[in-house]
Amino acid sequence: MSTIESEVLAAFLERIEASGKISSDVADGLQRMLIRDKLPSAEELARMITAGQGDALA
Amino acid sequence: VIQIDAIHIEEFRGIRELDLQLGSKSFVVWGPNGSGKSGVVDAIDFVLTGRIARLSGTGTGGVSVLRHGPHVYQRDNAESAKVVLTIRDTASGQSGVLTRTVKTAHTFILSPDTAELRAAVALAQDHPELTLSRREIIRYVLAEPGKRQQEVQALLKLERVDQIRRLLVAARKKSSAEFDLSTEEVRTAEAVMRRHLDLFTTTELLGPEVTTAINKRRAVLGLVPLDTIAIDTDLRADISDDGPAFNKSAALRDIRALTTGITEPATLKAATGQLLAALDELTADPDILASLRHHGLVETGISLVDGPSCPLCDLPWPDVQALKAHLQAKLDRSAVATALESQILTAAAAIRAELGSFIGLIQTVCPLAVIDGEGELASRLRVWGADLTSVANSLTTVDAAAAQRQRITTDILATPADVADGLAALQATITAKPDQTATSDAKTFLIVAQERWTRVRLARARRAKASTAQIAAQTIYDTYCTVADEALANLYKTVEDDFSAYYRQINADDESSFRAALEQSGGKLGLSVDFYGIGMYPPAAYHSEGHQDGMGVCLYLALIKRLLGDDFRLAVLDDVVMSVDRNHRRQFCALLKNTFPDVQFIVTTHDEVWARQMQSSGLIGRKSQARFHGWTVDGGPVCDLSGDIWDRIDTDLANDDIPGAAHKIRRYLEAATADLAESLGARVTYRADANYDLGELLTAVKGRHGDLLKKAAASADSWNNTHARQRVQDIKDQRIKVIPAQECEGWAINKLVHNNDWATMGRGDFAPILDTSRQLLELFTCGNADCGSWIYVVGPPGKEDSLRCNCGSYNLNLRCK
Repeated sequence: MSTIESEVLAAFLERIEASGKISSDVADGLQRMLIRDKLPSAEELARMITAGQGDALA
Repeated sequence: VIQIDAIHIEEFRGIRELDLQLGSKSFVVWGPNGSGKSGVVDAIDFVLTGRIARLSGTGTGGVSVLRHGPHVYQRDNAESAKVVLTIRDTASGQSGVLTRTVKTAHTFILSPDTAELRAAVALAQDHPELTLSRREIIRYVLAEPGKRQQEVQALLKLERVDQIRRLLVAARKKSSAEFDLSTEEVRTAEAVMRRHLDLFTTTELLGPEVTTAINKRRAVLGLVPLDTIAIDTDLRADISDDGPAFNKSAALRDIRALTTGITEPATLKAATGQLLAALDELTADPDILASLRHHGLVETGISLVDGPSCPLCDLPWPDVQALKAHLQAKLDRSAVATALESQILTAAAAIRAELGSFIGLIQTVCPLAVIDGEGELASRLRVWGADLTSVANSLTTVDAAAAQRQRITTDILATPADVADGLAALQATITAKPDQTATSDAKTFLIVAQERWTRVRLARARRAKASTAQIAAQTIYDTYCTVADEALANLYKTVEDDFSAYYRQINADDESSFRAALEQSGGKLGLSVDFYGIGMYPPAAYHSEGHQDGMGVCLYLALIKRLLGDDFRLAVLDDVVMSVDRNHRRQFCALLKNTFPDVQFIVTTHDEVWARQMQSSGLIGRKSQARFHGWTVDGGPVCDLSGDIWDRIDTDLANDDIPGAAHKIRRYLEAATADLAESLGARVTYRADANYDLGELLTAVKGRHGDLLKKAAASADSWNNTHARQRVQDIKDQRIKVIPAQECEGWAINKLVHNNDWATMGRGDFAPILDTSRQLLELFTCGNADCGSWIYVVGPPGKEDSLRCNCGSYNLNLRCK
């Protein structure tokens, strides 16, 4: 990952965390998945986002 | 970050063996086209990256580093083709040797193999764009906006920014699809529930219709009605778990079936009749039974007959044929027996099936008798059922069927006494009971309703979760786009500003207000540039090709500066600089030298004037050059590696090569006086073909130099600067010594220029010419060995500010107080 790409990703994660609109589980998942060399598939990412919404209603 | 101290190239591309000493300073390789300069660029590209850019991309199909990296004579000996760099890491100050051979191009040898040096090499390896060829510079300028976006993002290593953007788009779509699916699940679950409740409304399922439908069944069961029904309400609340509900009509049907079966067992009687008939036939011929029993034995015996003795009993027979005929007669009789056996077993199976039906009815009626307190009847039914089961299970062989003959003949059912009366009494009792079908239906209704209500609840929960996930995915995507767009906009603004500033520096004389605009939109990167203040247009619209090339170099420098920042310490420019038009070369050299003072530029050019320009401007040191004269397949580049012209001339003299030395000094004087005429602003008669005479140029340069010294003296006097006054006087004194001596030898110079009289000269004749020429040019050269640039005038004619060199060691004020 180049310096510029790292800067964009860091700014994005910081903005996500500061927004308060995304759960900490999802924010952590994004950091974990987007920082690794091999990006996740869209399915993996979507699953992580869904899982991060909790199960209170079920 | 590495810089290059030295290069050793062996059997690589067009080079057999070559050593260049760069000393981590900028360096120029110059010579005519086809002299092997690009082989040096390929070698640097290869040793740093393991690849050769020239051998990849469009139009290079079938060409590879392994097969075409080695010199053509070594094409089957890839190991012999290697490049060795002596490098220096600018961050740690460490030096090392980096070696890569074509045979093992994917790896390299580093000595010493330290973490710092390895990191520096890895950085260079990740940045093949450090090597820029002429054909590449224009791709950023003239590309279509979509392609430019790709090229620029690839150069700036921004592919991942777009990859993540696309990934988030795909994840958002997945989340939306998941939400749509969960919505459909809710719709289906609610439809199933609505159908069960017999509702045809499309209103919210929690409405009063649901409560009404549920409470109606609860009332049948005598349960408390529910006030309201929430998604988590238990619709079965308070239902007693007292076993299966009693169904009167079903019970009466079962009792009647058993009673009818006892009194009118027609099917059973037919089956027993068939069985008894077959058993009678069997009893009538005892041999048939024996045949049946011996059938298998005889069949085996026939297959074992191999002589006139019986294989079963060893009795001797007259011959084999007689023995076999005897056994075959036995088998024929047993065939009749087999058919009879089949009849018996078929009839027995039919009886077993009938008895099974009876047993099933008994097992169904038995609980009814228990419920109604008919314990004795229930007991009798259980015993009877067990008896019938025993009889049915026994009817599986001919012998067993024969053994049951007595039971079958008399009454196979053997219905116990009082069972028929007991069943009649039970039927009467149940007939008198109230009908419980409605309660059973209500209970079943509520149980099913609860299952379906649970399904609705779970489907709604999944939909709610999918909904928040969808919103989250959208928020994530929007946030990323915002951040990425801001970052890229800032980045492109920086690049735009730098690009504009660089271009203005080069073209300060006629485009001092130049500006460029990089506009990102929808995956495209538009570029428009100012055209002499008239408007913003695409680069190719009005600017000349030379200007477009200049823009390409400037944009490349702006991009690479943004990409590497302080790590930008090395660039290889392969014949790139010749794109800059002649009038702006000095400014271009100044741009590289002043804006990127820490960068080692390795430049190739086929233009000698350019090479000298780079040296005179101070971008390239006097000895930091290699001149390629030509190239042969056998020997590779024909080159002159002694960097300084005077060193090369001295070498010629040492070798008694007067013609060589004369040729060099003639060409050098021509080029040097042309440079000096420009840098000092000397006046010569204009020639449209720019083919100025050496003598005319030399006279103009000397005259202008004298005039400038007069201005410097006047300035020193006006400022009463003693030191400056003395400095000017020293230079004048030197002029007085040098110029007459040079003019004294001018006849020889003219001969050198116009004739071939040097052919008759000896070393002694030539030495004074060389000395006076050198001393003359030193008058116009900075004395600082690290600088060595020509002096030049700052300021327009008539308003000259100073006479100075690149490093400032030579600096005379020309302005008076």
